[in-house]
Amino acid sequence: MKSSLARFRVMAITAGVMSLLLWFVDLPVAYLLNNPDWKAAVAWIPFVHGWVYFVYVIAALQFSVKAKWPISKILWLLLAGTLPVASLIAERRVVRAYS
Amino acid sequence: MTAQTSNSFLSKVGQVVAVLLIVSLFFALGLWQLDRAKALKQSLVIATAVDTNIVPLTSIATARQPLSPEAMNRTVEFSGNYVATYRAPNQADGDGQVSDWEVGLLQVGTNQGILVVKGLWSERLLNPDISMAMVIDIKGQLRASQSEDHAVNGDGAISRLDSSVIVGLTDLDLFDGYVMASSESRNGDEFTRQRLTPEKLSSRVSGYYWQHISYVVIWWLMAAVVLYLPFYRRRVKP
Repeated sequence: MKSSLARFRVMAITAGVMSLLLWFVDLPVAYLLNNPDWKAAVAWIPFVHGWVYFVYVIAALQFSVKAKWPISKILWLLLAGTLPVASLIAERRVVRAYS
Repeated sequence: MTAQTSNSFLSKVGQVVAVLLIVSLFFALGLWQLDRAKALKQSLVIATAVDTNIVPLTSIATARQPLSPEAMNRTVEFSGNYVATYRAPNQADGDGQVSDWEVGLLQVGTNQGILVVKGLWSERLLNPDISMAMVIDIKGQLRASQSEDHAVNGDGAISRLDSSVIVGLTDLDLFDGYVMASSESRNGDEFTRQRLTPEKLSSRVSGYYWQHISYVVIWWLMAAVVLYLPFYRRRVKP
């Protein structure tokens, strides 16, 4: 349980940072600014975010199944990785509940 | 069968149908992302391929029509008269060298025109013998219009290599895109000057391709999670 909690925390923080970069750096550059150089410079963000979210889902599933959470709570935890800040909030709440 | 067992059976059937629907949806979303990844790979292969067979310009492009993906980067030949000259500032060549380019508007036939990159702006006086009355034969690579400005329009300068920026300056029907001239000649006599190499075509297919693949994996993982959920036993409070 302790190791799955640690894995979840690492992935929640990483996914949170990647979501912030995706929403507030990549998307404005891609859709609001017309600068190909900047677009090329931030092209790695959605790619990395996609794979980080995949690992986040695995870590969140492992933790929540071990904790025997209800299904609705598990689904909210999985969705938290897609929104900026949400996974960071989830990580704080989980730490408060399980530390 | 009692009403209670009947309701329980219907509830189970409902759950199975709901799970299958959601799994099908997630699986289809994964397939959609897989198709997008394949399409992206295919489009970038077309966009970065260079066919060196020389074809007449009008056989692959039509004035006032967008360039087809198959026409981009083809080597074309055509003839006409230069009717205007522009400076295209801050253009990067294949070596990344940034300089001002000389761009001619070549009238093709009676009422069509296309932008032709002739060479460096600083070498524009090397061929003073080219006059508007001469029919010039051009060979070069047909390129897609630039989408981003490199300078400000005005004073004989065009902001980017894009026929739409000179629409108001000519009555000709303009071809989409522009041509990077590799040779200019008249009656077989070639005009000698340094020709510019086009900016290298780069494919960022690997990054974006793997981004779509990551979404495929996530959708299918979600489908697997939904399949697992009916078998999941959560903690039962005593």
